[in-house]
Amino acid sequence: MYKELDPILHAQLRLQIVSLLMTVEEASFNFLLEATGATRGNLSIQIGKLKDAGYIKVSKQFKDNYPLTTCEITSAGRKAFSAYVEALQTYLKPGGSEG
Amino acid sequence: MEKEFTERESLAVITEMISKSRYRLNESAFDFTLWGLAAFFAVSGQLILLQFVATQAYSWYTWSIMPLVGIASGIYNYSKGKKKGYSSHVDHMMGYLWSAFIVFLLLILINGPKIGWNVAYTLIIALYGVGTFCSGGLLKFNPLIWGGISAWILAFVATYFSYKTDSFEITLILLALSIISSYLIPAYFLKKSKDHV
Repeated sequence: MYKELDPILHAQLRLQIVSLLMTVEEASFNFLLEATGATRGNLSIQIGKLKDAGYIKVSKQFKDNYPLTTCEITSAGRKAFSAYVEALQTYLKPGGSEG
Repeated sequence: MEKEFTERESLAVITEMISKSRYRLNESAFDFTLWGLAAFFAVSGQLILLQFVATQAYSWYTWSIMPLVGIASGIYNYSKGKKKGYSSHVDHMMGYLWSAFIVFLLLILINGPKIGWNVAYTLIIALYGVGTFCSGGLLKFNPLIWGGISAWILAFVATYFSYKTDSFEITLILLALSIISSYLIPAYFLKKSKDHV
C-alpha cells in the first residue's frame, strides 16, 4: 500500500534543504546555497514555503556587520521528514512502482 | 520553479545532502594536536624546571601558556565555523563535553593547594581520560577511546606511586605519558582518517 508523499517535501530543492537541516544544528543561507546549487532567489522562496509550513525556523541577525540568515529544522519538520522517508519506502520496496 | 522528480531521485537527493554535512573526523585533529602539544611542553618544562632550576612552588609557571593556547584555539574554531556555514550535532555535543572538562579542571586546580599537587595531577590525568574517552564515543573513533582508557590506567599507576613514594616527578612523567597516549597518538590517527560520523 503506497502512502501519500508530503507535497511540501516532495520537491527537489525543499527536500534538499530539509535533508541538510536534518543532520545539522543550524545552517547559514550561504551554506545552503552552496550545498544545493540553487539560485539565491529560488532558495529564498523555498525557504519561505518551508517556514510557512512550520518545518523550519529562520533567524536573521548581524555578524561582523554583515546580515546572517540561519535556518534550523523544527520538531514538526523532523516528524514530516521521518513520515516522508517512511512513505518513500513503500514506493521503493521490491515490486513497488515509481511515479 | 519546482522540479518534478521520482521517488528514487528523491532518495538520491536525501543521501547526497546528508553526505554533504556529515562531520569529518579529521576536523578534530587540530584541537587534539594543539592542546596535546601545549600540555606536553608545559609538563615537560615543569619537570625540567623542577629537576634543575626551581622549586615546586614556581615550576608550574610553564602552564601559563595554556590560556594563550585557548585563545588560539578559540580563534581557529570561530573562523572554521564561519567558513563551514553550519554547526553539526557533533560540534554541539563536543562543546558541552569540553566545557564540562574545563569546569572540572578549574575545580581541581583551585583545590590543588588543599589536596596536594600529587593528587591534583593524578585527577587531571584521569580527567584527560574522560575527555578523550567520551570524544572517542561521540566520534565513534577507537584510538580516542583507547587513549582515554590508557589515561585512566596511568591515573591508577600514579595513585599507586603517590602512596608508595609520594614522588611528584613520577606523577609528572605519568602525566606526560598520558598526554602522548590520549591526545597526541589519537590526534595523529584522526588527522589521517578519511571517515565521517
